[in-house]
Amino acid sequence: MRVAVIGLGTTGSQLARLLRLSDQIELSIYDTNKKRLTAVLAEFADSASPCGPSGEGADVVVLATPAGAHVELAGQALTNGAHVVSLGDSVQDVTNLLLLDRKARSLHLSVAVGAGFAPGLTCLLVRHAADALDEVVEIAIAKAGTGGPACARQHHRAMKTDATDWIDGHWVARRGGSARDLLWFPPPIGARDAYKAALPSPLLLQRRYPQATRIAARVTATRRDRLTSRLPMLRPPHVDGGPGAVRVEVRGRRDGQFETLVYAVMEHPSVAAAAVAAEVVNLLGRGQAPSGAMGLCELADPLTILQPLVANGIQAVTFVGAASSVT
Amino acid sequence: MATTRDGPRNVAAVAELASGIMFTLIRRVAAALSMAGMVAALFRIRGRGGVPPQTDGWREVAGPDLR
Repeated sequence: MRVAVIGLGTTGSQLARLLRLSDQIELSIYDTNKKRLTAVLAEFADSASPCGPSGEGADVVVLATPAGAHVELAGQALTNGAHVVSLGDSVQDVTNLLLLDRKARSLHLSVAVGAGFAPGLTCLLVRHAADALDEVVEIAIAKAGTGGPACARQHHRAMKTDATDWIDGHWVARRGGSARDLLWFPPPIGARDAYKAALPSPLLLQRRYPQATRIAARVTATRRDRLTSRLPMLRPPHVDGGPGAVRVEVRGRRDGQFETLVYAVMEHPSVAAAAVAAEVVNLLGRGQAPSGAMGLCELADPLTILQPLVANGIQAVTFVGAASSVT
Repeated sequence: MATTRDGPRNVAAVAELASGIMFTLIRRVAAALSMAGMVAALFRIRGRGGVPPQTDGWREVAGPDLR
């Protein structure tokens, strides 16, 4: 299988390192930053070759570029006959990528939209929780931490942009940085304030769970981040944002009883996003995904991705005893 | 001026008044602290704090959870 990774930032380069370990994959890479591309090619020696921005000749094209260019690159990749895996986490990219559904179906190709940390891992955890329920009523997503600089910039943009929640059958705009909620993540993240922000997870989940009365997402931020979200970033973002976590809470009914399931994963967002994307690449390479453009909650049985992730050291946890702690 | 002749008597009266206010304040602070202490002791002795939950919390998702 020929795989092209477009974008060699923090997440893209980690993904390329994962993919080059596979004997089944013939890897090609591209980055607009020639210095970075040369450095990664030198690191990979003979195990990767350079390619163009649309990954010509590849069976699967992975888009790990900053927000903005995903739909154009995905369209070109589809025209070239390749499946697409996008790690884009901007609402605009996700919305536009979903519009490629018809084209992807007509070409019998798949576009995995939001195949990273959040969205991505969040969609898999929600689907896993929802599969255990008879009926899904509410879904709440939360994300803590950022990956590389592009992810941090997107986080900053999201905080000052309106969120879109699915409430009682309608999309409702909520002001970015509003609706503070104290959420508990697993250690070492712990309790963090989380706010509304322009996050794409609800867009992807609503397609799978349109009957849910509420689908909402929040992102953690410090008070300083929230206060300065309307300003340009005051200092350059870190190369890697450090430890992070995602947390999903799915409420619904099972055997007539109301039940809440909470799952979380704690990991460096760039590491987890790269691991998720690598598993999605393998899934598409095996031809196990339906054609069309969709999020990971629609792409496959979540266990086919979650099992290898956990086996490879991504730590997933579930919260037990919520009912007894409330009463 | 009247203050020249009555000065010492007035000063003594003012000092006595201030001393009275000060003692009242100290008495009230002491009473408040005592009451707070008694209430805290009551909660400490009669409260049902007990042992924090030992079983609930985050549990690692293992093999059986992913089947």
